[in-house]
Amino acid sequence: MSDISIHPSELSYLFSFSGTDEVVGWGSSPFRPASGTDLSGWNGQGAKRLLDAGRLVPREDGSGSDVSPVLTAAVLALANPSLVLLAERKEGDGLRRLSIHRGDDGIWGMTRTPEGMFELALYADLTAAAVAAVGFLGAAVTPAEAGTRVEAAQDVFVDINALAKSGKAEDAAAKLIGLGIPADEAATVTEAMATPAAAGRLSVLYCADNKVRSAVSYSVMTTAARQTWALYAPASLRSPMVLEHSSVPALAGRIVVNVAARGKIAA
Amino acid sequence: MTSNIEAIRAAEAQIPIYLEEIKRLREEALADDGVVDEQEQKEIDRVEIRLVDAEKFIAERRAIWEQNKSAYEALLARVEPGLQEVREWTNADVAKDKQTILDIADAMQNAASVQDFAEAKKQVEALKPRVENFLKLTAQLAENARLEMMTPDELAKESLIEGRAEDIFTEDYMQDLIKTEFPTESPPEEAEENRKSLSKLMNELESTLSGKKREEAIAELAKLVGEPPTAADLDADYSRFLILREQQETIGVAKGHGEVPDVDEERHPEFQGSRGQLLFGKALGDAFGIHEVFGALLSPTGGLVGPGNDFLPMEGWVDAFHTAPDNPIGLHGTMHDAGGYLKAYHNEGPGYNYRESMLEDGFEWALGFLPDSMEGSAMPLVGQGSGILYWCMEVGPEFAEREIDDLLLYLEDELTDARDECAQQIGNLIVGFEQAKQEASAYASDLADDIAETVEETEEDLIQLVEDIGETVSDTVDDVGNAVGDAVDLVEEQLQAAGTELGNMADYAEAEAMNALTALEDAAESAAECAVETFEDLSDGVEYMADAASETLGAIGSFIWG
Repeated sequence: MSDISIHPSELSYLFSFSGTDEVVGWGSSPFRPASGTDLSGWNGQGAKRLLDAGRLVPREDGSGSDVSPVLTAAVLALANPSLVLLAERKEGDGLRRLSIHRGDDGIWGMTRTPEGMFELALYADLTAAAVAAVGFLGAAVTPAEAGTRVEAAQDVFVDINALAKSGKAEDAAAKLIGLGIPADEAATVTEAMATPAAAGRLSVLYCADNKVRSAVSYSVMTTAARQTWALYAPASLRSPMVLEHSSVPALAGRIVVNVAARGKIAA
Repeated sequence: MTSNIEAIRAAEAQIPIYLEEIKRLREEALADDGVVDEQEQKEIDRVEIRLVDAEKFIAERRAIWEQNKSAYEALLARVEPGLQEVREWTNADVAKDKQTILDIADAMQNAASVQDFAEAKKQVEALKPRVENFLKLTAQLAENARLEMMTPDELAKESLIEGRAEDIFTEDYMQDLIKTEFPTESPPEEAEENRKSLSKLMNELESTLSGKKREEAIAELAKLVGEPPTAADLDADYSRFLILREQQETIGVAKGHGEVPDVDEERHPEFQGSRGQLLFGKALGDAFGIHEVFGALLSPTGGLVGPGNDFLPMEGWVDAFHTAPDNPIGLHGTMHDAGGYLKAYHNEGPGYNYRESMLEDGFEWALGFLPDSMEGSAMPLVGQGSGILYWCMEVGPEFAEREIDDLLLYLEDELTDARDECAQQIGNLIVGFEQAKQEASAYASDLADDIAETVEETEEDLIQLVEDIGETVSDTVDDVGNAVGDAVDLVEEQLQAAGTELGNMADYAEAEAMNALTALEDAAESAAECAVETFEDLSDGVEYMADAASETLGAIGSFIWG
């Protein structure tokens, strides 16, 4: 669903007008030229690309140029989002990234190709965006609702995670059973932690001033048998963390309802 | 010109004359033969019509006159105290403005003395904004005098904002800002000449002027930017600008921002006095209650956004590709700079955070899942969002965190049903969709069979009919056959239309569901295709996070990458 494929120099050029130094989730370096390359030349290249693509159109009266409305909406969403969903999928020691930025005129997702191009996609609504973000992490599409759920302090889950990753699955499972997770499900948790088929972090970033003011982040782990577990802190890290049997609909539903509730409170 | 009351009085004077004439005509008509004949009656009617017209005229004009009188007296009652203050002012700086007001007041009183309340009302309407402006001006002069007595440190602590700095960062304000038409921009063929004149004047005003030079420069500026503002208004704004600049220097140095740079006119020969600069100047000017020219002079490079002004390497590219100042992207940069300037040099406003609009709309669908108790204040803690800000500002972060945790944990519990319901709906969209599509496909297939069967049966019936007709009326068989052929086509057409409509409905329903489904499928696809970033890259994106947010991400990330 790539609506716009755009070179980083084009974004750099446009960001220089909007006063944008960083993009939430990406920082500044992906839009800057390689070291040793002149920024002015880089931006000049971006301007030329924009013009050639018909994305930058000079006004007839010579008072400047206009950026196409669709690209304008996308750039402003990147430059000043009120909300960003940042999905980072583990890939070896690295990650693949999808950031979704809610601006005044739409919700725009952004990924980067191996060639260095940025792909921008417009989402119909927050639901579609949340589904995409969770789906990006390879979560299972069932069950429709969240299932088993337990709470414990952060250090408890840190211990369990460490045990699972170090091959002590039985010890980890025992601790999980102690928390109230059924034995058969405890095994899937330890598998999801130690050898996930897909895993990543999904962060819901509440922004103002193009800066993240608060965040809710989910560790999302899925087994080869399509069992997804989400681990998160609903409040601060000093409060209990939650481990929950989850899925695309369950986690997306959680996100859209929580975002709506926060919006309601902030209003 | 005849005033309302004079016209009324003239009409009123005519009434007894008309009555007398009617009486005379009637008496004369009766005197000769005791009867009013047709010709005599015509004469009487003619005068009676005049009488009725005059009475109607008087009634209408009298009503208008009364309205004007009431409006004048009401407005005068509001203006009078201010007007009295104007009369008492003796300051030479405002003598010209005072005299203009007194001249209007004289004209108003002259009109009222002859009861010409239409004119009096017009004059008092003209007087009101001038008196208000005069009082604002004199208040500003007094305030300027007070501020000029302050030491730099005292001045640095003073808020010089008019109203609230946040007011210039609202959506409505920015929409209006785009539409601003500056006097120097019209007529278009003179705009560049006006800009150059303004640029020259701004360069003069930038250095602290006084005495005759100041008087001349301000008079020239008043001529260039029109009236209002008057020269006295601009002069008071200039004084305030100088005060603001002093505050700017003190705070800028204290906060390590240094001096505000001037426009490099060799590199940007067309910027001083331009629309881009004036838009920025208006934002600051509205915040400080001064003219946009002085707002622009506070930070002359404000609105100078984008690489086009700074360093495009190729000849001619600046003109060719420069984003227009009122293009949304350019305007964002302008307001971003204005917010940053206010915070950096005057300790005012939201800083670069000029749009702290939090999630105010666009979540109707999700809002539908929230419990009814979230409406109004029924839900405990909800509605205390602004209180969170208070906690953060007024008390320690630990207390604030506990309070916010309570709220978030409460919501975590309270919203369980809403989340489950929403998840079910999403599940229906992305899981149930395939099943629904298969069912719809089977239904469509059945329908197509039905349509084909109906067409076939209809054709058979009609062919039979043709044959029956053919047996009896052989010479018309061909005609009837054609008619039957048309009828078959029509039936087919109608059935196909029904099928198409059904198909359209199915497509529409599919498109609705596809939002989420497509997003999911595309996300899965892009997850496999996008670049693999190194984990260290993550820290780059985290730099611009509040500490607590960064801590949360770090803790959650450690379960994956740790």
